[in-house]
Amino acid sequence: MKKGILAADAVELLIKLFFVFTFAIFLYVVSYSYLKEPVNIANLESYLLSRNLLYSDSCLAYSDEVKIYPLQVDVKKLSDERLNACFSKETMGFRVTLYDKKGREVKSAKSLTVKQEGLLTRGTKLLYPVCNSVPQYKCSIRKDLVLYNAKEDNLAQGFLVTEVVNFVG
Amino acid sequence: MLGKKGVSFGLILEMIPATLFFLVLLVVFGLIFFAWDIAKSPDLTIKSNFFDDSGSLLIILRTPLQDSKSVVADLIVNNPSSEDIKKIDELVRLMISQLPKPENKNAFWNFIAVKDSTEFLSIRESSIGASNFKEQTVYLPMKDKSLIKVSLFLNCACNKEDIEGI
Repeated sequence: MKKGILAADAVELLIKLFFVFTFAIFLYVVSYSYLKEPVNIANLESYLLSRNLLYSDSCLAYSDEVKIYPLQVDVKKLSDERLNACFSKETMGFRVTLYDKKGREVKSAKSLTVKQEGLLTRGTKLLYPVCNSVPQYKCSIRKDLVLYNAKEDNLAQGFLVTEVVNFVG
Repeated sequence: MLGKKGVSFGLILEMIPATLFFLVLLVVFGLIFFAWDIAKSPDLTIKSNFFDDSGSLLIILRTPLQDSKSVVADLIVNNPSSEDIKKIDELVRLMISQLPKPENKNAFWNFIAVKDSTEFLSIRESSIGASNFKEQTVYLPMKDKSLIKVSLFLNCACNKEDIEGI
């Protein structure tokens, strides 16, 4: 009789454990799939880079003794050295080009390695054919409306085009 | 019954409603988590347009007018005449025509200035079934302490993914 009771207890325990384990495995699979899901932040990074360039005095924003003028590009600051110093991330490279309102190039600068420059080569049909063929990299382009100092104290409206190459793994 | 503490044959019967409820929960949540969500978006994307500022609109308002030291915003707040409005309209149209838009989609940038519920400056273009995206709004104060609401938005028959990265 005692053996029978023990066996019955064991069966009951096994049934209960089955439900507990099934639920635990379900929770684990759900959490694991969410934690392992790739997060695409390439566009967000490009956006944050453009804000950094246009709002920071140490990047391209025009400033005088009194204040910083966000979204107003100081053409003198648009140089490779300045860009390298103001924003650097190993997995990210970028090229910045300032255009006037008629679409003519005013000035360009870059913070790119030789490999990244190759990836950002423009094509005729596709925008970045080399970059598109390498899945580990994502290339994107942003166009921001800006003001810039065309001549002394003379503001003009133009566009700042930021081309970004990002290692996405 | 096998004994006082033993498993009853009724245990399975007792557990049938609970088991069914448990299975329904697993199936429903399984569908929500896997079939619906993950299958729909293989890559979790943190969208940059949630963090957009009013940069484009501010630049339009700060753009200097030709042969003048004043900017677009100055003209808007100083009771513009019909000739002034024509001047602003021309300048703003040129600027918004160059703003980035999703490719191969019916998309138009709109610029509107409203005072006392009246649109006194309106550059509107829209398509059927389109929604407004990337809305930027600025309130300009006038001398009489009333406010002018200036808005810039993209009217587009597209989804959020088309807007991403613009």
